[in-house]
Amino acid sequence: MHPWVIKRLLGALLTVWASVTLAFFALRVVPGDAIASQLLQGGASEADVAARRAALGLDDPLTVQYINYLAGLVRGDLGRSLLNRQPVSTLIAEQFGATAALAVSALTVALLVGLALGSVEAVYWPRLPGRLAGIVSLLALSTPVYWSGSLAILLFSAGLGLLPATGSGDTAHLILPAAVLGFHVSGSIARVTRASLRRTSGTDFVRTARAKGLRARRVFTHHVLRVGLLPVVAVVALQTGFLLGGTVITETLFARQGIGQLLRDAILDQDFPVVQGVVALSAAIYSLVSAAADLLYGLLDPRVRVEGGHQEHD
Amino acid sequence: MKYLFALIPLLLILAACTGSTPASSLPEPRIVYGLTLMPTGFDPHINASSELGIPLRSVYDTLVYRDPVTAEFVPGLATRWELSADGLSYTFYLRSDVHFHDGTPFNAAAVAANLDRIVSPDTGSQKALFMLGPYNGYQVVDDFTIRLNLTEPYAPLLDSLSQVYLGIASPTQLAQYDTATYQFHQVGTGPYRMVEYVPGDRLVITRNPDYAWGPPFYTTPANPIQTIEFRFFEDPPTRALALESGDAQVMGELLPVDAQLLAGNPTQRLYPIIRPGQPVQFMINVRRFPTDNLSVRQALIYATNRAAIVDAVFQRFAAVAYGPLTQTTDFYSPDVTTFYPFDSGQAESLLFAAGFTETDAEGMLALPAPNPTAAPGQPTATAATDQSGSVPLRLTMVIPPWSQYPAIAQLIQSQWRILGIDLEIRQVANFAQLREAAAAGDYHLIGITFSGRDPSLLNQFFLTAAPLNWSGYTDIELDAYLNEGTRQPDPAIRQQMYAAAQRRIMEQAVVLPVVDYANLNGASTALEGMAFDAQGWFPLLPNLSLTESAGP
Repeated sequence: MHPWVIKRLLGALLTVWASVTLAFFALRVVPGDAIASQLLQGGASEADVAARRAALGLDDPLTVQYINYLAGLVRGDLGRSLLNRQPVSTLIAEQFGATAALAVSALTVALLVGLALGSVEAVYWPRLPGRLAGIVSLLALSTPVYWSGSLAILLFSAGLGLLPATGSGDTAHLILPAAVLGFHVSGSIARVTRASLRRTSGTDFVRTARAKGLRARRVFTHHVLRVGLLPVVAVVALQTGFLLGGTVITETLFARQGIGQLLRDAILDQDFPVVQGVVALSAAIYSLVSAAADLLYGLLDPRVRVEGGHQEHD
Repeated sequence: MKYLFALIPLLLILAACTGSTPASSLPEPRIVYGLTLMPTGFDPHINASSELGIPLRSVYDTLVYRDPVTAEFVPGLATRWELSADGLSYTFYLRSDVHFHDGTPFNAAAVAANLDRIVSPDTGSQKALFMLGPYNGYQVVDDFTIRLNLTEPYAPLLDSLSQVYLGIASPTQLAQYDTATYQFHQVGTGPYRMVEYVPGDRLVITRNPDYAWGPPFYTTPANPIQTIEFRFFEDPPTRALALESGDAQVMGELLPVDAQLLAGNPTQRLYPIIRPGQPVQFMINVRRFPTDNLSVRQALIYATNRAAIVDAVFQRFAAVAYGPLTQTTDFYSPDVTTFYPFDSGQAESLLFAAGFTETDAEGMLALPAPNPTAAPGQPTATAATDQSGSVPLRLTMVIPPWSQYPAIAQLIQSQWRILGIDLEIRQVANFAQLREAAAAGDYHLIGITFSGRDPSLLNQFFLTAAPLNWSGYTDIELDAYLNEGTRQPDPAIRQQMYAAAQRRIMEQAVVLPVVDYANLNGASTALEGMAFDAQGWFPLLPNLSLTESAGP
């Protein structure tokens, strides 16, 4: 394997370890746990609570719990939910498909809309289409998913009856949430696209291309876009992290199945192992996506070739 | 870059493939019933969520039932029952014509297997176990007779046995799956069978055509609902939208403002159900100055305009609470309504009598600076004083985020400010933090409310040694009422005991009751027969029918 890849993988592992460690201790700094809450609300006495906690190993010293957890993690065992005793890996696997579908389709929407808005803005500024695209991308960036989502449900479901508002059933159920989440993410993609395209338009090689007598369209598609879209790759990688968080809100709003809902409930119930599992997964995905983005960067831009384990950014 | 674009159609295909399709081959008519939260687990013997009972109440039968109107105990899987003279054993005579959804017969051994499972430490029950109280094993008398033994008399047992948490599951099925997996394969004897449970997405049940042993209040309508799909709507504003758009035909826990709008919608009907148990209330800390003073506690209740809160926060879909139990709870005593009507004049004079005679520039009350010969009982060292040495009337209230506590607390804050009472509100995120705040003890009022039809839930809050005695109130007399109320099987005696307990709690002003919480359910007008069981939370699903083709 290429030494650079190995280095990135090691970096990813380190990131995952740091995230789960942080999650492990942060969760335990906050008072209380799932068992005490649930049992007391179920009518148990303090003695019952203490016995149950001891049986689950929640009374062990924190370092012992941590070492046990890491040992499990190394074996691929994420532990079991305190509340329903299901393996955390099963709980996550059950929900992963729905969230992946939402995140991938939202990202697709975001890319299509964001690239279009950003390009229009770069090319047509300061004429009307450019200004309109600028307003729309600003709107996308500044409206929270919560608000635009409620509005979309009101308009397309309750009002026009075009699309189902809630649930995870089929593809029709995916359209609204993916559009809403994707629209929000498209804002930042559009901004980066615009800025980068404009910067590229002013560079020497573009001037040379124009001087060669190439048509404006060809200069844009073959020269400006090729180089100008590079930073977008980085933004997309960054937005993957946001998407993982954004699905929490989107899934709750649209009553969709998914990791987001699992995480939200686990946090509220203080079901530590589940929260830690989701954190580990998110960290892993995020590290891998950003490593992939770096790699892609090199493939797309000959100026940023990865050589001998060193990477040169412009 | 072109590689990236080439990926897009691929991603779209992937997205389309990962979505799951709901079972569509199930019999019609079909409705979608909206649950308000996603329970962490759906096993009624293990998990404690009240939401799980909404579907599962109709998957299981219980040994006894309670009439939804009269709250009388009526036969369920047991045709009759006897209590021994010493109050220590209940004998249940079981029906012999019942079989589980998997075809296996119901009998005393099945009840025994269920009890064994509930009390086993391996099960890790979070509620069912504690509902059995001083349970001490059973004897199978014959195939259709079982005796439950207790270590001490426990009157709430029948109420416990009437609830879904003690529903009787197929022993065959229990043996086949473990405690983590049974929830996906539940089998009972009830009017509906469980089809599937997809965590985070749906739980589906279909009508049990063999069901012929239901309690008398289960009717058989002409066009009953054959298939019910339960879905999870955790975001409150989405609930009304889902009803309106036809995504769901029934929905629980609507926001009061949405309920108000729904009331004017001809296609929807509102079913507000006052929850039995405790009202939305605050426990008053009697161990801390100045609420250690009875006059101050009484003044706080007089000072709270609860009708205004019902109007503003609950859009009038709830009722003013006067005591520690809501009006739909067993042995609720209407006597409590005579205590503490809203009366700011009375509140002012009680506070004056308690020593809060000074008013600062902003009109806030304070206890004057103590002179060297301060009257005994007046605080000197324990309370915070300002520069002049006088003690301002400053209170701290801890609240959870649910049951409209934040909105209620803010209204109380503004109502009290007018009278010169300075209230600081501290909101916590969940029950664990609420408990932590209670243990720290630095509060004057703390919001907590439990639901349940039997008033024995008061024991968890008002017995001297109770785990949730967050008032810190100790009273031998009250302990005696509550203990006897739990021990005495005779309803007439229980009535007396709980009437005395409610009176005592209000005389001593240990709680500030605010409002009898109403669960605001909404349903399509195409649905007929919407009604809820005696616990107020669980719908009588077999009675539902569709008047027209209004399904999803």
